[in-house]
Amino acid sequence: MPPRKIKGRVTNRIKQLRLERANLTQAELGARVGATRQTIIAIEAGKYAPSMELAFRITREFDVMFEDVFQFDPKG
Amino acid sequence: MFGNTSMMEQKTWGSLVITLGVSAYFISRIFGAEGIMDFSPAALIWLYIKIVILFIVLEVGHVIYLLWRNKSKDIAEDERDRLISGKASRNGFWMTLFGIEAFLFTMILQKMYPDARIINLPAETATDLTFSLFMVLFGGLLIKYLSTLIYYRQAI
Repeated sequence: MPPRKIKGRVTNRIKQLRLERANLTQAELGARVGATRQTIIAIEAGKYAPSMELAFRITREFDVMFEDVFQFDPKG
Repeated sequence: MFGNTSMMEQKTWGSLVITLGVSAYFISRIFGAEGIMDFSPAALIWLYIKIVILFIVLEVGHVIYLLWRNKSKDIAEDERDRLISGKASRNGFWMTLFGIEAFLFTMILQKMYPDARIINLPAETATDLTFSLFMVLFGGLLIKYLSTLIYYRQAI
């Protein structure tokens, strides 16, 4: 029997938090968390799921709970 | 065109252009009017050394230029760049391995069945061998750079 394909995707509210809470540009957020502007763009667009380390660094920038930034959509 | 790309993506574009240029130079030196010329081993060694030096000089110059151009940006490379580089290097490795395997099997098949000219691989002289192996190496590099650029455009 072939292995079951596991569904789900990680979504985030980085763009909203970046603009509303921190008032940062993508480049400024990237510089603070150790990522390029292009990586922040890819994360915000849902094209790239960051590592745990980078995800925690981003969360700390906004001073909120992890789940306030990243969510898991099991049907995605 | 490159204003919205990361430094590593710009570096990949440059390396792709350098690889194409150096391989074009190599092919132009190897080929004469009648096909692959028969170089002496000493001439081949010098051509090889020239190609390697040309590669190193162009790549170092290109990286220095990129560092100077991007000096205002804080982050030159991050985890996504490293992930893409790792995946693309794997593709380049498999291409090189496949090319070497295909080259060896074709050589063996040509020796086993000399009358059946299915694939006429140039593998008679040292120049032929050098040319074929260089093409395999260039192919591996091209696959690496092209897949890097594709990964930057894809969801990764």
